[in-house]
Amino acid sequence: MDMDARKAWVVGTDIGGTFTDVICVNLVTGEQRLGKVPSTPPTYFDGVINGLARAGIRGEEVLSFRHGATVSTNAILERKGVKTALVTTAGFRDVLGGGRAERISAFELDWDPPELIVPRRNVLEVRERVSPYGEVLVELDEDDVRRAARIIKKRGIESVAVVYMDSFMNPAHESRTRAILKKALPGIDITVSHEVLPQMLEFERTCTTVLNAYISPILKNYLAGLARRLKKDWGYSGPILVTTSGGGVIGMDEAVKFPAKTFHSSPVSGAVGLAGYIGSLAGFENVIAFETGGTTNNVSIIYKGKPAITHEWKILWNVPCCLPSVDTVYIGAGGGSIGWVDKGGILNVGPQSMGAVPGPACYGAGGEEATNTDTQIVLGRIDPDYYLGGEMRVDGALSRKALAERIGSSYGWDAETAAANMYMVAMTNLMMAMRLQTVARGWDPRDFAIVPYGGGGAMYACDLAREVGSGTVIVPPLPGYASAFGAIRVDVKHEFTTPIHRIESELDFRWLNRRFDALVDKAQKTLLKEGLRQSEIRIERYVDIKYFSQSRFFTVDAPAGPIEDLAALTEAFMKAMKTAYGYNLPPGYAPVEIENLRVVAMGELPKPSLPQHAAAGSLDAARKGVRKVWFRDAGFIDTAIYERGKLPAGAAFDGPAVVEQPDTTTVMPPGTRCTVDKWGNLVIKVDR
Amino acid sequence: MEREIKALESGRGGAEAPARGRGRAAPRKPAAAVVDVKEKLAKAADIGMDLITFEVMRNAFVAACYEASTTIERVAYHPVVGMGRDRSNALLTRDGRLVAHGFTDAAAHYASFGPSVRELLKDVPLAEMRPGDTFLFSDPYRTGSHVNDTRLIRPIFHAGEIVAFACTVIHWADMGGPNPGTFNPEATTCYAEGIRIPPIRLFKEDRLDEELWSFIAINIRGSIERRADLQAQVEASKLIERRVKELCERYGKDTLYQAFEEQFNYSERLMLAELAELPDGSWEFEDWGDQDVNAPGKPPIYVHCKMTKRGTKLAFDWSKSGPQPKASWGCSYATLTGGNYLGFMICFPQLFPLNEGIIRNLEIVSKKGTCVDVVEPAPTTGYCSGAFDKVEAVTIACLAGPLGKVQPWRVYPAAVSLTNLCMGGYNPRTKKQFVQYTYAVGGENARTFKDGKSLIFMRFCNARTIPQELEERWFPVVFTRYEARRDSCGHGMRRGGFALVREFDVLTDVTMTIHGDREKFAPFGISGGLNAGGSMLIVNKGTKREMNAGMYATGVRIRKGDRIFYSSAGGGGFGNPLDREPELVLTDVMDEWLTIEAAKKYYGVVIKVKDAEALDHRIDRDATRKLRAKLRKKKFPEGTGPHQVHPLGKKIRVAWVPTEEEVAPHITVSRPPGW
Repeated sequence: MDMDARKAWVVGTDIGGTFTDVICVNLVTGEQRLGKVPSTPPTYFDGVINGLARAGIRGEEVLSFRHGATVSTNAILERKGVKTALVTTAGFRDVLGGGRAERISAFELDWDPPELIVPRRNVLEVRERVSPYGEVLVELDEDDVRRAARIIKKRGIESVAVVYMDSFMNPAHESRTRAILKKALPGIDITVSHEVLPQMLEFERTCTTVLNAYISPILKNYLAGLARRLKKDWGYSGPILVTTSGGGVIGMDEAVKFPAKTFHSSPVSGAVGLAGYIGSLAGFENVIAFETGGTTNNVSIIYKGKPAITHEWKILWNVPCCLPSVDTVYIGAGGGSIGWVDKGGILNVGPQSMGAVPGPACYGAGGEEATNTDTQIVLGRIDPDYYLGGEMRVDGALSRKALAERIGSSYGWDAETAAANMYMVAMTNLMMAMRLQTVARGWDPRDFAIVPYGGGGAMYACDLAREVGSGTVIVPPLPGYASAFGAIRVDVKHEFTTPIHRIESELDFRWLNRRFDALVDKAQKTLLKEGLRQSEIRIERYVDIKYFSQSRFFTVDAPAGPIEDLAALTEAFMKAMKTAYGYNLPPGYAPVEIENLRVVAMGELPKPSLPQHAAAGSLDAARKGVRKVWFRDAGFIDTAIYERGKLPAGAAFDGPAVVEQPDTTTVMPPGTRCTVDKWGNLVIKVDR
Repeated sequence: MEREIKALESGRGGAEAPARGRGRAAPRKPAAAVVDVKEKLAKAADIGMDLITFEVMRNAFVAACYEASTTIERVAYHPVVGMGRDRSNALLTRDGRLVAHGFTDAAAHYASFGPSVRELLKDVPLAEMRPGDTFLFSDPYRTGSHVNDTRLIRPIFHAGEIVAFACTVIHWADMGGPNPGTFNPEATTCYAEGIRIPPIRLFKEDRLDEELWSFIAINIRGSIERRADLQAQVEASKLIERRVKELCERYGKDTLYQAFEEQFNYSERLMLAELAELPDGSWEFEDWGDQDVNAPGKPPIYVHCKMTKRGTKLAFDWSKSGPQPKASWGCSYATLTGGNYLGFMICFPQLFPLNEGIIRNLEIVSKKGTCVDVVEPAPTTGYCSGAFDKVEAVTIACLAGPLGKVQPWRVYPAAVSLTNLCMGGYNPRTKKQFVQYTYAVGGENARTFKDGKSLIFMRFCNARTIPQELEERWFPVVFTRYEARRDSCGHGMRRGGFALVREFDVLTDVTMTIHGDREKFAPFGISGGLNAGGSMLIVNKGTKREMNAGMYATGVRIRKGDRIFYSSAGGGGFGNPLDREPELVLTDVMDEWLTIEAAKKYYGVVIKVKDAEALDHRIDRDATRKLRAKLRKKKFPEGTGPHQVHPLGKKIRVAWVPTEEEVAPHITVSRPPGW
C-alpha cells in the first residue's frame, strides 16, 4: 500500500462498563499498541482520551478512527434516555403499550414486562389514516399536530417519535407532521418511522422508532462531545466511524440520525471483527463466537464468513429493535452467576448474579454465595494467586466454604464435588445456548470452530466444543480487547429497504425497477458521503418474497439487471423455502407477493492484520509448573501450567494443560492438542 | 429400568382410557406425610440417575418442544398459527404420558396430548405402527378441546422400537360446517361443527395418503392453506423425533426412559413440597356462562367445584355443575382436566412444564352429562370461551383458599376470556374465498400486590396478537382502533387490567360469527374488588343502524362499509377500590385509563384538572375524604355483572397483602437456558 507510515494508524476504541479499551495498528509497519484504562462515567470520552494517551498515539498520526458506543445500550437498560413522546394515529394509542400481548413464560402471572419507554399519557393522537395501499383515507388533522406540539412543550418533552399506521406505504403525513413539529419545537429531535424502519408490523416499527427517539439526544451529545475532545485534546479531526449492531461501522452523521443502529455493538464487533477473523486465519469460515463476561455469556454465529443476522432482535423482553442485528443469544451465566438448589433437589446456576460487588465468595467482600468463579478456583483452574495476573487478592478457602455450605450440604458433597457438579450445570446451560444458535437454526456445529473471548470463555470452550461436537477451539491472543479490535476489522455497512406489498397481478415492473434504482442510489450516496470511493463500494440487492398471506417472507438475491418477471425470483424463493423448511409449496399455490426490496451497501475499509507473534523462547520456558486441576471424566489430575506470553509460535502441547494470561485462563482437558500459530492464537484440536 | 417396567405394568397412564374421577384406581403413590417430603428433599434429592445427564435431558425435552413450536411458527400458513401462535407441541412416553410441552404454547392444548396418544393406542397398538407413520386425530370427545385443534401424532422409533411420541396441535382455521371458521354457537350437535377425524394414518411411512387427504380437503374451507399448516405440523413432529433420536444415540434409550420417569418424580417432589406448605381444608367456588343460546329464557350455565386438600392430596369435584347446554359451550372430560391443570399451574408456575408427575397427583371428579363433561353429540367448538375458561377461573378461586393463607401473591381474580371472531366471504384482492379468525386480548386479573396487566393474552395461552397491518393486507378490512377501553377494569385496591377495543371497517360483504362469553357474567373480582367490564360486539356503534350483536352472534350478514366495534373483557379487581391510594387513581386518570367520573364513582377520588395538556391534575383531598366516607356507607352493589362486587369472590381473603418486593423472589421464568 502506498501510504505514509506516519499517518497510517487505525484506532479502535470500545467503552465497557469497567474498562475502556484502545487498540492501534499501523497499516504500514504492522505495529500494534494497546491501552486499557478505567471507564469514566458519565463523561466516557475522558476514558477514551486516557486510553489513547496510554497507547501513545497522537491524532495527527491516525488514518481512521473507530468507536464502539455502549452508551446507547446502557441508556435503554438503565432507563437513562430522555423524556420522549410518541405521536401516532388516533385510535392506535396502545399499539406500543400492548405490544404483541405475550408473556415471558407460560403460567406466570406475577411477572411484569419492562416499564414502557413512553408512558400512555405521552402517546399523543392525531387524526389521519392512510390505507394499506397508501391512499389517504383520513386527511392529516394539522390542528391535532399543533395540539401535540403544545403538549410536548408544556410537558418538557425532549424527543419525539412519529409513527402512523401504514405510513411506510405513504409517508406524506409523517413528513408533514415532522415539518409542523420542527417549526413549533425548535431544537427537539424528531424521529419518523418511515425513515427508521419503513416496514410493515406496527408494534415493531413503533418500538424501534421510539427507541431511536429515546436515545437520540444522548448519542448526539455524546458523539459531538467525543469529536470535540478528540480534536481539542488529541489533534484528530478526521472521520469517526461508529460500530453497529449489524456488524459494521457507519459514519457519525448516520449514527446521530439513527442511534438505534448502535445497540449491543460491542459484543457484535467482537464476534464479527475478531472471532470471524481469527476463525478465517485458521481456515474456518464458520465460527461460533463465544463471549463470557461477569454476568452474561453471548453466543453469535459467523457462517461462511458472514454473521448470522436477525431483523427481530430484542433489547429487552418485548422491546424489539428490528434494524438488522447480528443474532446474539445472551444467557445469564457469567463468572458471578450463583449456584442454588431448588425445592425438587435440582442444582441450578444463574441467572441471578453477584455482579462485581460483592462478587464471588472468594473476593471476601461479603458475598457468601457460590459462583462460577468460585467453582473454577476450587477445581484448580484459576490460581487464586494469579487472579487478574496477581493484581487482585482472592481467597480460595472462602470459595470452598461457599460451595460446601450452599451446595454440598444439600447432597452430602464436599466442596470439590459441589464445584464439579456446579461446573457441569453451568456448562450444560452454555451448551443449550450454543445448540440454540446452531442445531436449532439448522447448522451442524461440527463444521464450526469456537472462538472464546472476554474473561471466562476459554475455561469452558474445550468442554463445550466436545459437548456440541465442534472439533476446534481458537483462543485469540488478546481476548480482553475483542470489541476494540473487532471495530478495526469491520467494514462500513448499511441496509436500506423499501416496501412493495404487491402480488403478481398488481406488479408494474417498471415501477418496481425504479424503486430498486432509487434505493441503490440512496445507498451509494450515503457511502460516498461517508468518504468512500466508488471502487470501495459493494452493493447487494435482495428481494423479500413470500406467498400472499404467508406469515414470513424469505430474503433472496435479486437477479442482476432490471427485473422483468417473477420467474427467477420465484425459483429462488422455492429454493429458500425448501432449505428452511425441508419442503416447498409449489408455484400456483397462492399468488407470490413481493414485500420489500432490500439493499445492503458495504464500503470496504483497510483492515489491519494481527501482528506476527514473536517466535522467541521455548515451551519449557513458558512452563510455570504443575498443579492438580479437575476435569470431567478424569477428576483431579496433575496438569501442566503455561504462561501464555512466553509461548513461542509453533509450540505444540497436549492437554491436560492450563494456559494463564492476565485477562483470561485457557483450560485444556485431556484429549486436546494445542498449537500456537504464527499470530499467537492457541489453536486447540478437541477429540470427540 | 425397574421403575419404567413397574410403571407400565401398573397400567398407569397405559393404553386404557384415563380412569375417571372417583372410579380412578387408588392413588399409586401413598400420600407422603409432610415430614417425609421434607426428609426426602433434605437428602440427595433422590435422583435415580446422574444429575447432569438428567439436567441435560430435561432441558432438552422442553427445548425440543419449543423448537418444534418455532418451526410451526415459521412454516405455518394461517396468521393465527404463524403470527398468533395458536399451536402446541409435546413429547410423550410410549404409553402416552406427557413429558414436556413448549413454553409459548396454548395451555388449552396441553391436557389433550395424553388422552390423544392413549386413545390412538386403543385403536392402533404399538406393534402396528411403522417408522414414518403419522396420525391425524381430532375428536373432542376423545382428544379434548374442539375439532379445530387438530393433532398430528408421530411415533418416534429408535433401533426398531417406539421410544416416545411427538404430538403437535394446530388450530386449523376451518374444519367445515355451516359457518366460516367452524365456530357455531347455535349448533345443537357436533354434526353442525365441521368434521371430526378419528385416528387415521395420514402418512404411511412418511408418504401422504392423498386419498385420505382429499376426503378431508373436500370438507373444509381453504384446504390449500390447511395443507401448508399440516406440513408445519409434520416438520415439527419430525423435529421432536430428531431431537429424541439424538438423545437416544448419545445416552441410550434406557437412559431416556429413566429420564422420563425422573422428570415425573422430580416434578412430583416439587409439587408435593408446595402442597405440604398449604393448610388442609375444603373450598368451593362457582361461575356462570352467560346463556345457553339454544334455550332462551333458561337460567345461565352453572360451573361448580369443591376442592379438598389433605396433606399432599388435592382433589377437585366438579359433579355439582349444571347440565350440559344445548348450544356449543360445554367441554369434554379431557378438556375439563385441561382447565383444571391450567388453573393449578397458574397458581404454581414454578412447576413448569406440566407433565405426568403433576397430572398423576391431581384427582379430578365430574359427572357425565354436565356442562364440564359433555357427552357425544354435544357441540364443543365454544369450549374455550365457555366451559374451559370457567373451569380455569374456578380452579384458581378454589386454590385461593389455602394459598391466601400462606402465599397471598398466588391469589387471582378472573381475567379476560377468549372471544373468537370469524368472518368469511370473497376477497376482492385475491378473488378467492377467505376465512378470517381473530381474537381480542384484554385485561389480566389484579394481583394482590399489584395492578393487573392490560391488553395481554388470555391466561390459557402464551400466544401473540396478529398485527393489524398484516390482517388488513390479507383480509378485506381496515382497522380504525386498537386501544384500551376506558374504565373497563375490575376496580379495586389493586385493579385488573383494561379491555381492548378493536374496531374495523369491512370492505366487502361477509358472514360473521362470534363465539365469546363474559358479557353478562363479567370476570369476577375478589376480596371486595369489583368485577371487570364485560365483552362487547357492536355493529355500526353510535349510528342509526347500531346493532348489539352480543357474544353469540351466528352467521350474521355484514355489509360492505359496516363498522365493527369488538371489545374484550377486563380483569377482575382485588380489594375495596376505596382503599386504593388516591395517588394511584390520579396516575390512572393522567394516563387516561380512567375517566374523572370513574375515579369519583368507583374510587371516591375527586380530581380537579387545571391544565390537562400540562398534566396539571390535582386531588381534592377534602372532597375525596367526604366522598369516600359516603361511598363506604353506601357500599357497591353486589352481583355477578360488570363492576359489581361478586358475592362469592368477596369471601376470598388473604392473610396479608404482600408488597412487590416480597413477591419478586417468587417470580419464576420458566424457559430453558438461552431461550
